[in-house]
Amino acid sequence: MVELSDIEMKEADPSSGLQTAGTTTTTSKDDKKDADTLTLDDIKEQVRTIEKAVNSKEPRFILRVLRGLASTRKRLNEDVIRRLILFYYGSNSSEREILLGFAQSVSQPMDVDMEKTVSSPAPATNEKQSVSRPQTSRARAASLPEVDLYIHLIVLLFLIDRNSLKSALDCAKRLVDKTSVLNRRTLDLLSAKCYFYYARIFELNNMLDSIRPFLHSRLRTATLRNDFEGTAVLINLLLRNYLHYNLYSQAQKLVLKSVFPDHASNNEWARYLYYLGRIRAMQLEYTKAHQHLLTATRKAPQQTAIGFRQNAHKFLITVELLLGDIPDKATFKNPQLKRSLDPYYQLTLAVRAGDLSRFKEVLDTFSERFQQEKTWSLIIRLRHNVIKAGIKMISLSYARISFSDVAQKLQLDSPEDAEYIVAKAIRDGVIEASIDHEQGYVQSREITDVYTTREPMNAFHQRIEFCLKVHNESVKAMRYPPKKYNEDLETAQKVYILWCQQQVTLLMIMLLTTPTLLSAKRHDRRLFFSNHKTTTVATTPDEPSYGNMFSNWLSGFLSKDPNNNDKHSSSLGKLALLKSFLSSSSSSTGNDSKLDKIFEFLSASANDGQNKASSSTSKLNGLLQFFGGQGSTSNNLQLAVKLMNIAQGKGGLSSLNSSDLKALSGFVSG
Amino acid sequence: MPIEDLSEEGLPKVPNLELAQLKFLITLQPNNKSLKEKLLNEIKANNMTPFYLECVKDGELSSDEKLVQTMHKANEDKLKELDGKIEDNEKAFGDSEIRESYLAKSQYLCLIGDREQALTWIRKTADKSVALGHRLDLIFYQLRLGLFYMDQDLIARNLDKAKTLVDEGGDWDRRNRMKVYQGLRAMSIRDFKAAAELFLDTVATFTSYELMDYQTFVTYTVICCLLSLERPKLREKVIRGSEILEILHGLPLIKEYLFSLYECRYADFFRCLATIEQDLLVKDRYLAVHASYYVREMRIIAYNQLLQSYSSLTLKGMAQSFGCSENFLDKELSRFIASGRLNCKIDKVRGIIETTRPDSKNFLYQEVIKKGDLLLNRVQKLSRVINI
Repeated sequence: MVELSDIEMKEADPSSGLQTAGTTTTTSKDDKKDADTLTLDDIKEQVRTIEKAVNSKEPRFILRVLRGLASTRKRLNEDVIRRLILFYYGSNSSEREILLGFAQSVSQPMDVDMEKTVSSPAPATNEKQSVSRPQTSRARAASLPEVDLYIHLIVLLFLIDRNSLKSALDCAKRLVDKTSVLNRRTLDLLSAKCYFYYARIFELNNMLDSIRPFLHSRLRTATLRNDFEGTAVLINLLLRNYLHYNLYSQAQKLVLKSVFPDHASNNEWARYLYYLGRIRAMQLEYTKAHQHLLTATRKAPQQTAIGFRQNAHKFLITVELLLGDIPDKATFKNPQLKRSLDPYYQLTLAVRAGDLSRFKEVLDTFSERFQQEKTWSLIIRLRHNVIKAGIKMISLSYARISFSDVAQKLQLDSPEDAEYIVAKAIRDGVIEASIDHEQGYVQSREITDVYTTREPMNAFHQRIEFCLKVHNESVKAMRYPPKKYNEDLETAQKVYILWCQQQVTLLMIMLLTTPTLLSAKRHDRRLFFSNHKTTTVATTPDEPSYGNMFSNWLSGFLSKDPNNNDKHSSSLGKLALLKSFLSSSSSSTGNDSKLDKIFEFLSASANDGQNKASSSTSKLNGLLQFFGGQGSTSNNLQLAVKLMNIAQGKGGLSSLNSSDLKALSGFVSG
Repeated sequence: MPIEDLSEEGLPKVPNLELAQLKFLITLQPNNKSLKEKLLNEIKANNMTPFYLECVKDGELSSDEKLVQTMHKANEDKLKELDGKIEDNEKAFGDSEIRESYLAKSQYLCLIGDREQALTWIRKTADKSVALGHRLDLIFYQLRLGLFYMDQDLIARNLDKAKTLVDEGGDWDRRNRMKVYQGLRAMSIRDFKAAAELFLDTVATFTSYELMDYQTFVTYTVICCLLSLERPKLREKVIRGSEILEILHGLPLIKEYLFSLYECRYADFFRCLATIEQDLLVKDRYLAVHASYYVREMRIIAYNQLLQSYSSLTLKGMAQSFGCSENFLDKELSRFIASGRLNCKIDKVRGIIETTRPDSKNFLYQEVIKKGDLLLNRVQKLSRVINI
């Protein structure tokens, strides 16, 4: 996403610059004030979240704050920064001065007048605030190194956005100095972000090579401390650093010597795979490169990070072409990618047609662009592929063809040339054919039936493996929240993950067995019930046999009609079901009369449910009598109430848990 | 469909799609004086100021200030008159009269080609209309406007609306009418299969003279059917279809085109195809963009039809039966074979084409892999939320 920040900044820079320059001087000052206050409040809220994270030692919260960084960044301006610094560093004067100095260094070159207008109201409001609010919580907050770093980081982002690279450099140096002194686990995520922007600024200043030793030393520390996010970011930064100077072998060594942490975030993984793909492509390992780049594009964020996706796709397309495949046309049609991929589209068309002259034309037109995008060295390898594609097409269409015809079709100079090239293509396994040198023709072999080879098995295996991996990952990612914690969000996530899991499992089954609709449906149903079971049985883990029996029975009748669930329309129907269950579960047959009595009574109460108000208590007592006169225990009372409810159509069968059923069947069987 | 002209019974030709076709022709032949004159006369006759301005903007006609002024004045007068009527009716009469006057105004706006105004007034009229049939008629107006300007978005939206309304209980006449509109749209977005089905359904009951005359309709039907129907179905519906045959007597080119392919006279067929491409497809507003696609597909169909009957045949023989040179045929076939459209192989040394059987099992396998990968792609995208 380093490329992303390239893009992002280009968008953000002029607009935010204009915004501050324009709006501070014009009439819409009030609106801006509100927006600023809102931004400030948001940042304060984020700081509180950081505090919470530090106190509860839950890095998840910090992750959430950092996720919001992009949107915060877009809303920053001088005023916000100034108020922010004054607010949190009220007591710490030295720190305050330094940060304010940074902030001021931005506004000075822009407009001196504007600075005055901004600076005059700001301290005034601030003083008021500092008087009215208790000093303590704020001071404590600022004393947390995490908060300090976060504010510093915001200032740094602001500097980058304002393009004042010089002071950004100083600021970044200070920031990284701060991180290196501290050794706190809660800092890991924040410092990773700091490294990232540190390297970014050096890149903007064109001094990337100078920070390599620093990155290496930090990487060592991060690895030792098991700081996975930091390790991931640092490895990526180093790789980017090497690739920037085309040091592919060094980058390769780094990849070999270091282990990329499994737990790193998706974005870091996407970056890592992208760099890895580029290295592999350079080293002629196209299959691997293709795999890496494909995963990178899949793992990258789908809505944002357009720049990253564009770049990844450029390499992906090039590698795909090198592999002899033709990329999907839909990729080029994607509105976000369409423009930047246009040269590659032209390239693909040329390769697909196996047209050398056209290929050359494309190379000539776009050579500069390809060089700039660093795909040039890969693309010039494609010339061979164009010929290959041509040969492939010839071997597909012709059973036998003379070399002079081949030469003519591929626009080669002589039949001998054609013979050599065809010979090489056969040796490389591009086409299946044999050459008759005497007669001067090439005979292509019949295409073998792919389905009789092991290839389908391998292909399926590869895909099943992928499904299993996703499935396992989603199982691992399940997390149950503490009770009070923001339940909606978490349940939504849980349901989503569960759903993903189901999808994947379903897919797996479909791949494993013949893809008949029937099996899929049956499986779907089973999944549905296994979920259902967990909810009902979970209440009584100590009575497994009853729980199982109950849930089996429930799922049994549900499977007859899954849509109905247990919302049977008539209460009588429910009772009948319950009765059938009880009669089947109670082994002795002599107690049928008791069973019948209970249900007679229940259905009677269901029938005159209309005038229930009059005699509900008496009915309850009547019911309790059935239960062997032990009406005093609260369990029995509850059970009786539940049964009444069901009978009167108020409650569902699922309100009964298995202990109730056990009690019930106990009564019935005496 | 009897031959006698029933066009009087159809809806009014507003907006007149022939004009759009005329305008399109002028873009193809910018120097054709007679076409321009024809267009200009039509415009003058109906005082179509907005349409005229549009033609001027697109460079089909030269600008004439005086003409614009006179036409504009005529428009103003007419609109004023219509507005006056609307006012009278709003004061004195009930909803149905108001609706009538609204309709008159929208009709006039359609006629002179004022697209935006026409659409707003049609919407206003629709608000006043209660009867299902009336509302459907208004939708047909909008559809025609959409076809006039080739505004696919407008057409798609109104077709959806029309479909729901017809399902609610449109009469047969409107139901058939809608099928023609649908077919025309399907044809203009290269969905020839759907177009063929829809056209065939309405051959016997065609009344949509506001769109095109019956000859054109049959031409379209044949063109779509040849591309998308299998031979047995083609015989049943088209070759033996009495309504189509009746009209085909008057259209020798289309008749020859249809029967030459059906009777395996490939050389004749190719000649017809070439003529049809030049004289019909390229010059048709709806089909021009699809011309090269259509001709390519038709050639593939012809090749396949010939190859089906042979296990092998000489290149020379095939070239003869198609009436083209061996080189051309060789180039064509190798291209189509490589892209998997023809099931055969060329033995260039012996000059023979050998047909191969299509392998459905392997094809299915490839498809499973391809579609499965698409699905996996999506699953992986979903799985991005998973953060261990």
